[in-house]
Amino acid sequence: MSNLLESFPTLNNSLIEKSGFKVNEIKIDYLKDNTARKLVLTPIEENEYFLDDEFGTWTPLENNLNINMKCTILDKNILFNEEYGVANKNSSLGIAVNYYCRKTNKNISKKIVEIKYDENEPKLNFDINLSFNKGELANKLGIKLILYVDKSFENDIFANSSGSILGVYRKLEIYIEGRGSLFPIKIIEDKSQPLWFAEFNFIDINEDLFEESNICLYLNKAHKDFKWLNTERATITPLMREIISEFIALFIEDIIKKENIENICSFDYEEEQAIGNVAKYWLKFFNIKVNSFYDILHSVKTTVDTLID
Amino acid sequence: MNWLKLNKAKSKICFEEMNKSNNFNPDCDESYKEFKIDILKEFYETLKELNIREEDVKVKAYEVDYIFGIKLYKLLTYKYCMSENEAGNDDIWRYIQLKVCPQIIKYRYGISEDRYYKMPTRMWLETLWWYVFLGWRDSEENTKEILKGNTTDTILNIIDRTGRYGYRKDLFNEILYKKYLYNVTDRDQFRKIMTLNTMKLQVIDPYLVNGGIQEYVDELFKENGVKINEFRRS
Repeated sequence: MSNLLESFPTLNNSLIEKSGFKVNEIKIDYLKDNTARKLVLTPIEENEYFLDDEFGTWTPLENNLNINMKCTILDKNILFNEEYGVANKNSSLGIAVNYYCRKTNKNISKKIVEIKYDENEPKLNFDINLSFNKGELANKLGIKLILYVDKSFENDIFANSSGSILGVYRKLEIYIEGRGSLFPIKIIEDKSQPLWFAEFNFIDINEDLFEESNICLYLNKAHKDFKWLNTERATITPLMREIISEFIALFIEDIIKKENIENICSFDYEEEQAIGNVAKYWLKFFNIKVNSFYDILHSVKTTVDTLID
Repeated sequence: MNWLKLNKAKSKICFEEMNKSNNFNPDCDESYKEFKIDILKEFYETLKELNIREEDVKVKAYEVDYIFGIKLYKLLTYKYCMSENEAGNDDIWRYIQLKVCPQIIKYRYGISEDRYYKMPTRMWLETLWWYVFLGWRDSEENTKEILKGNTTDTILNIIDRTGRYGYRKDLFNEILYKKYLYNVTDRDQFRKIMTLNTMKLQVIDPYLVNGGIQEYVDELFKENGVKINEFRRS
């Protein structure tokens, strides 16, 4: 929500805490041969998750997806507090779910529950149910639980237009394709290929995004040394660490051939996931010296060694 | 349909080769042969309907856009079962545009990198698919009627407003419908409506307004001076 346009009180962290908002449970599943199969959210970073399927078969193109979230607000009346609330007692608020998928151009909001001041009943439980058909989603699904104005009365200081967004209780970003790793990794099976190789297909570092079609590390299952990569486990093996270092170094070498390094580092990128923006971050994070490929690789390896045990 | 892909780097090479050899009728994969016939058939049916030739395509640009767009949308969605997942994949469109029917893009836009492969919101066929997807209203006849009075400027105003989170399909669908219903033909007025919408979306979610999207869009039009009781008569 744009701070520039806020002229009324909105939901802040303190109010979220005071109201006692909780997500009690998230259940995700899909239908396969008339049986519901569970999917699991694996945390990556705060509010970011990868969607895991123990059978390894779920894809957004071939399967449906159902999401159920059970939530509670322990004290909804606090939202109507005159001092630090977001509405007066005569107004009604609401919780809605906004879900979006940039890749399939989907951005929809759905009303979930009305919230009214009730001295006798401060607690509110509610469920959120989302269903997606196969082919509706790709890459990443975002979910936001929004507090909004439903109806307002006699407001001088509070938001008074119905549909006004007062804040976000909770946000989740779920990577439904790709492991949400440092960079896109694809496992292939090809006897004619080496253990690993990199592909860089980007042209415009500002417009092209840091995604599989533009940049990818390929790991070859058919190679005799694939077992030493330990791709199914969380621990990164020494061999994998070397591959990661070299991949990052190759990427930096490729991008500085295509674009001047001063431009890469000074440009103000529109998209966070723009190739150039990722390079800018990595150049700083790995403290990369770019005089030669040797220097690039050396600086990356030094940092990777300290980060990955 | 097993959709083939062409990434941006390979598209650039393909485009440059095509340009150099002046061959805009390349061979495509065997699996695309029927698809190629179908797309070209729809394109030439459009020209026949408008009673024009290839060299007139740029002159009748919007008419070609919306009539061919609807045919293309129907073909890809109903016969070839293209999903939103696939329609959102730029590399799928790059293959179609460069390997299947590059010649028709040349008729429409000449030799333009952006239109062939470089900019997703400018790639012709992809733009048409999403425009019709957003404007589709129950049937081909209704959709054609709704989109008929628009211009290439309308397409630009709609398609360019993806935002960080994707299109609000119901919102754009209602805007296009009400534009037709209230007979909004002034380009500047429509641009102002879209600009006001972009600003309002910073603080208001149109799905959550009382009266829903229909009410939100009516207010948007009213605030820009549209007399909403002047209905188009069919």
